[in-house]
Amino acid sequence: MEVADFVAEALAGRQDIEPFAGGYRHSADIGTTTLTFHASSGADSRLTSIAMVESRFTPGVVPDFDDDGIAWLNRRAVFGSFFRDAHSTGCRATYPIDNGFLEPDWQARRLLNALSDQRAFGIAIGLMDLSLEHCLASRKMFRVPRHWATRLPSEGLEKVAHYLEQQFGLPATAGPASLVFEAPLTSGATTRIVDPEAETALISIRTDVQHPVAGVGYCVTIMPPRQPPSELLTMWCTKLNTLEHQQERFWPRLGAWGKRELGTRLVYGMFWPTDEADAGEVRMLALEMADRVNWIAGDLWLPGVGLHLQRDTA
Amino acid sequence: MSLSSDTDLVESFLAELRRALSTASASLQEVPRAASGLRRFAVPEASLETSLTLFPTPRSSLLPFGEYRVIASTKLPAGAEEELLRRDPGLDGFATLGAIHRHGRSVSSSMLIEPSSPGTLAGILATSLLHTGPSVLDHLQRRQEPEAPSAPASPSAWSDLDLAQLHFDLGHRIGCSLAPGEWRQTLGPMSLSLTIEDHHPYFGGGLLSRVSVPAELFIVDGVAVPVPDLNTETMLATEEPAFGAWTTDANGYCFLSFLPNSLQQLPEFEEHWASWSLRRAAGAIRIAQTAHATWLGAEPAAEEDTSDSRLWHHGHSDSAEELRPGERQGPGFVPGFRFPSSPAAGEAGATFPEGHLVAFFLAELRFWLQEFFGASLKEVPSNNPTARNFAVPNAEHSMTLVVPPPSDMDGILETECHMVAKIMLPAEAGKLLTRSGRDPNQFATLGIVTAGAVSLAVHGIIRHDNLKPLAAMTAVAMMQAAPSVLEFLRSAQKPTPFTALRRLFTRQQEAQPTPHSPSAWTSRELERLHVDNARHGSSSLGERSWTLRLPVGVEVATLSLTSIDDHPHFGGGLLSQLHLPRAVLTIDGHPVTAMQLNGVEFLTGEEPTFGAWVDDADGCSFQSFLPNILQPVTGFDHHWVGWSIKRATGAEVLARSYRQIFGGT
Repeated sequence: MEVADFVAEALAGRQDIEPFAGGYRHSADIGTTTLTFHASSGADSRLTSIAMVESRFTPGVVPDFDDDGIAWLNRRAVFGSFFRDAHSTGCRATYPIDNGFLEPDWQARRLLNALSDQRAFGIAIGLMDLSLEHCLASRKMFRVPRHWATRLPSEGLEKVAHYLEQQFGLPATAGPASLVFEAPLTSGATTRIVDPEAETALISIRTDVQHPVAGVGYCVTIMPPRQPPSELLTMWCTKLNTLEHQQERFWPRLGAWGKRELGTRLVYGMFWPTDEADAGEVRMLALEMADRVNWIAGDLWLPGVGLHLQRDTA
Repeated sequence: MSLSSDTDLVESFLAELRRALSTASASLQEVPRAASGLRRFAVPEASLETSLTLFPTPRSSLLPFGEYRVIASTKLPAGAEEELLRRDPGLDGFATLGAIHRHGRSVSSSMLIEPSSPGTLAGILATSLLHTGPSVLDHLQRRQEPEAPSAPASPSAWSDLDLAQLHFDLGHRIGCSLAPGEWRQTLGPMSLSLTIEDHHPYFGGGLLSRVSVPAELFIVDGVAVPVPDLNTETMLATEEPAFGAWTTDANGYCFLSFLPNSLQQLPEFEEHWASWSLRRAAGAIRIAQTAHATWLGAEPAAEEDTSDSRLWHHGHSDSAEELRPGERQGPGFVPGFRFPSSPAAGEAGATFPEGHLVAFFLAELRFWLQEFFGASLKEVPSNNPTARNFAVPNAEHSMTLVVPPPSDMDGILETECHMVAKIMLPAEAGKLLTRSGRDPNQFATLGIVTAGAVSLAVHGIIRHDNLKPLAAMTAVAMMQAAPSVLEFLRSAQKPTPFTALRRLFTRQQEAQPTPHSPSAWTSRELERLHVDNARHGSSSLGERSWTLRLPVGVEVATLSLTSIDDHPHFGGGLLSQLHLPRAVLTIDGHPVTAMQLNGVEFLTGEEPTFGAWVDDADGCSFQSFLPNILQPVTGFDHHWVGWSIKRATGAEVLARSYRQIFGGT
C-alpha cells in the first residue's frame, strides 16, 4: 500500500470529509481544509507525489493580518506556515511523498494529523494575540497532551549529537532535553562558539518546550547569523516560506520562517506535536534542518552579507 | 508608531501614560516652573508626593531622533529614611518597581522613551508612579510591625501555561528552562528568573523578576560595588527600563522587581520584560564598572549643598537630588563626591590615570605600529554605540579593534576595558584550510584562527598594569599573525597532526626558506624565569627550555617555554605551551575540546588570548609563539607567566563556562 492508499482507508466512511479528484476536503463554518496529492515532475524517481494540506480561514474568524502580522504569527505556526493572499488567510503544509525512504503508513498518519488539526490550531494561534482573554481561551481550546507519554532515553540526544559530529562534522551539544548544533552557511564555517561572526545557522531541537496551543512535541528552530535589516524581516519571512513550498524535492514543510523576539529576529520554527519521543525522529529532524540550511546556503546566502535575493534561483 | 519629531515621541508617550494613569483614576499634571530642557509633572492622586521628570539625555543631540529619559520619583515620609538607612539600603530584598534613593528620602524608577513599546512602558510606569512609594512604605511599616496583616491573598495572574508560552516564544534561545512556577534564562554566569508569586505582602499576586549576578563579577579593583552605587548608575545611565532595584542575596547581587497582576494585560509584556532583563544581565558587569568608577562608594558631603551648581546642566528641580550628578558627567562635578585627580597624560612619573586607560593603550599601540611596522591606526565609524572601531589603513589584511566608546574615556574613570582585535584573513585562507583539512590553530602564533579561517582574533582586558605588553602583543598580532597563518596554510599540504610544530623541531625541508634568527630568550632569560617562578610549582630548566608544573586541583598543568630559532614565519622567539590534562577539562563527564575552549575564551576568558587552544594526546594545550620583538618589553615575561598560571588555574572554570553556556549542564 502506498501513502494515498493509507489515507483513503483512514478517511473512508467519514461523513465530514468530502473526497474529490486528487484530494479530500473538510469544511466547516470557520474554514476549509484540503488534502491534495500532486504529481511530481518525475525528475526524482523516488518522489512519487507531493501532498499539500492547506487550510483557509473564513474571513472574520481571525483578524485581517497584514504581512507583518503573518510573519509574527508564524513564530507559533504548527502544521505549516501561515500565509495570506487575495482570497483569505490560511496555513499550508507540504509533504514530499517518498516511497522507500519513510514508511507509507507513517507518512499517511502525518498527513491525517495535519488534516485534522491544522485549521483549528491555526485559528487558535491567530486569535491568541488579540487580547489576554483570547490568549487564555485559545490555550484552553484543546485537550492536548502536556506531558510526554514516551520520553527519549537519557543518552538519546547524545547519540544524535555524536552522529552529527562524526558523520557530518557538525559541532553538536546535547543536554537532557535539547540538541543544539550548527550548520555552515558558507564554505569552511564551523562554529559561532569560536567565532561569533562565523556564518553558521544555530539549530535547536528541544523536547522541553511546549507549544502554547498544541502541547508537547518537538520544538525545532533555526537561527541564522547576520539577521536581515529589520525593515526586510517581513519580506524575508514571506519569501522564504513561499520558496520552501515551491521546492519539489525537499523535506516536509511543516514549519515556518517567522519573526521572534518582539519582531526583531528571523527564526525558522517548526513544532511537531507528539507525546511519543523517538531518537530516530530527532535524528531525522536534525538532518532535515541541516539540509534546510544547506538549501539556504546554496540558493540564498551571500558570504559576508547574509540572505540575498540575487542568490535566489527560484 | 510613526513619529515625525521628538515632540511627537514625547507627547505620544505622555498621552499613553495619561491613558494608563486614568485607568487608576489618576492624572499627570505638568508643573509650569521647570527649567529649560526639563519637564516636570506631578501625579496629584498618588497617596505620596510623586513626580515625574522628563529630559533629553546628554547624547540626545547626537542622535537622529532625540532620546529622552523619564524618572519617576516618590518622596517618602519623614522618618522613613532613618529606618531605611539603619537597616539596608537594598531594601532587604523587598521587590517592587523601583529603588530607594541613596539618601533614603525617595524611591525612583527610570526609563528611556522607546517608540517601539510605548503602551507597555507607559503601563509599567503608571503602576510604578502609583505603587512603588506606597509599597516601600508598607514594607517599612511591616518591618516595624511584623504582625501587620498582609495584602489580601490574590493568586498570581500568571500561570505555568503563561511561562510555558514565554518558554516557547523564546525557545530558540540557548539556556532557557522551565520548571513549575518558574522560567529561567541563563546568560553565562548570570541569569534571569521569572517566578510566579501569590503572596507579595503589598501587591498580592504577580511575578517576581530576578536578574542574578555572581558577587565576584561586581568586585572591581578588589572592591565590592555598593548597592546604592549600582542603583544610582542604573537609574541614570542604563538603556533598559529600571523598574526594580539592585540588592544582594545569598548568591551575590540581583536586580529584583515585582510585577503585579495588573501588568499582565500590557501588550507583549512578558517578552518585553524578558528582553529588557536579559539586556540588563548582559550589561551588568559594565554597569558595575561604571558605577564603581563614577561613584566610588560616594557618600554625600557632610553639609548638603543645595545650590544649583550641584545640579546638572539641564537645570534645577525641586527634587533634583535624584538627577545628580547627571549622566556621564565628568569628575569633580558634584561637590562632596570623591574623584581622584587626573594627572596630565604622559606626565613623567605619574601613575596612569585610570580614566585615560584607553587613550594610553591606543597611544602605546600606535607607537608599536608606527615604530616597528610603519603602520598607523585610524578610527572608523562604528554602528555600535558601545564600541569604537579602528583600522590599519593599507594593511595587507583588514583589521578591527573594538574598544569602548569615548564616553567611557572622557571623564568616566574606567578601571579596565575589553579589547578585541579581529584580523580578516584573505579568502585564500579558507580554501587552503579546506584543502589541507587541518586545524590552523595547531600552528603556533598570536591568536585564534576562527571558524573557516575567515579571521583571526585576539582579545584582552586592558588594565593599567598590563597595557604596555598588551599593546605590544596586539600590534604584533595585528600585523604579523595573519601572514604567519597564511604562510602556514600555504605550506601545509595535507599535513599530519602537529606537522607544523614538528617541523619547528625537525627542520623538515620547506618550500620556503625558514627564517633563522637566534631566539632573544637566551639561557639567561630562561634561568630568570626559573628563579622568579619556582614558588608557583615544580620548576625545571632545560638547555633551551623552562618548564613549570602547576598543581590544578589534584591534577598537574604544565607550562613549557622553549626558545626557538626557526619559527617558519617569525624566526626566533619563544614557543609557549600550556598543557591541561583531560581530567581538568572534563565537566560532569563531558570533555570540553580545544575548539570549544577557543570559543568560550572570548566570552568569559579573563586572560589575554594571544594564542589558541589545541587538542593534544591527553587534554588540551594553549599554544602561542612569542616573537623576539616582544622580548624587550618591560615585564613581558613576568606578565606572560602570570597570565599562563591564571589560565591554568582558571581552565576548569572556563570549561565549566562552556558547559553552562552551551552544554545544558
